Amino acid sequence: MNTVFEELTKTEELLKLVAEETGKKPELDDSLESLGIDSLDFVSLMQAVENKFGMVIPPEQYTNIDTVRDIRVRI
Amino acid sequence: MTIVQPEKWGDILPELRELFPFHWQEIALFKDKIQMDIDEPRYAKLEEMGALQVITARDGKKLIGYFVAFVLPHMHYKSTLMASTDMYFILPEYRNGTGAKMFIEMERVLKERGVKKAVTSCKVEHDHTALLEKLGWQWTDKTFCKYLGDKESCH
Repeated sequence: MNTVFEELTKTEELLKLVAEETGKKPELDDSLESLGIDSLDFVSLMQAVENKFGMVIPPEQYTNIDTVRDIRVRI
Repeated sequence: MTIVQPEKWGDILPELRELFPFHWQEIALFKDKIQMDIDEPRYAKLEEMGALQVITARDGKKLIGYFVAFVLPHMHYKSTLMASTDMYFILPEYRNGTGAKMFIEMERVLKERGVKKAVTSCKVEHDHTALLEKLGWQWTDKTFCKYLGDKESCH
């Protein structure tokens, strides 16, 4: 079971990763649209998240990912 | 929030009609020589035959994009169901990941229908190679086009 500290760290790491990928300073509830990403950025971001956190987000779930938080809950 | 889902051509035709001119204006070749003239009855017939697949993208109720594919047994491998892209389009102001989601949803639905092979393409001037390759598509062909209606060459 992850500790609260580990969960917070994951959130911080995700926000940092999204910032690196988008060049913006995201908040958890920001929509990916508001961060100015296009389709290629979106897929690249999903792959970066998978590499960073060592997990897989099935592409079938992509249609339900609209915000940074939507990514966070899958990590 | 954008919703990407399968829909029926016949159910959404009036909405599609509103987007077609934008699509045509953006990507059609030989616009001065060949006017848009969608063969709606033939699309309806294909849908009736089960040979059409439509994926839509909506912002609330508003149709903002579509992806249409033909689903037919392959002419060379008649026991194999194959899909080929007819057209896809998203209103420019909604190009923020929706395209990738439409491709993924189309793939999911086609697999569900038993399709074994799918073919898609993009215009040279609207190159989606990087995105398609990230989504697992393999670049296998080059397509060429030539206008044959008069002596002018294709530009």
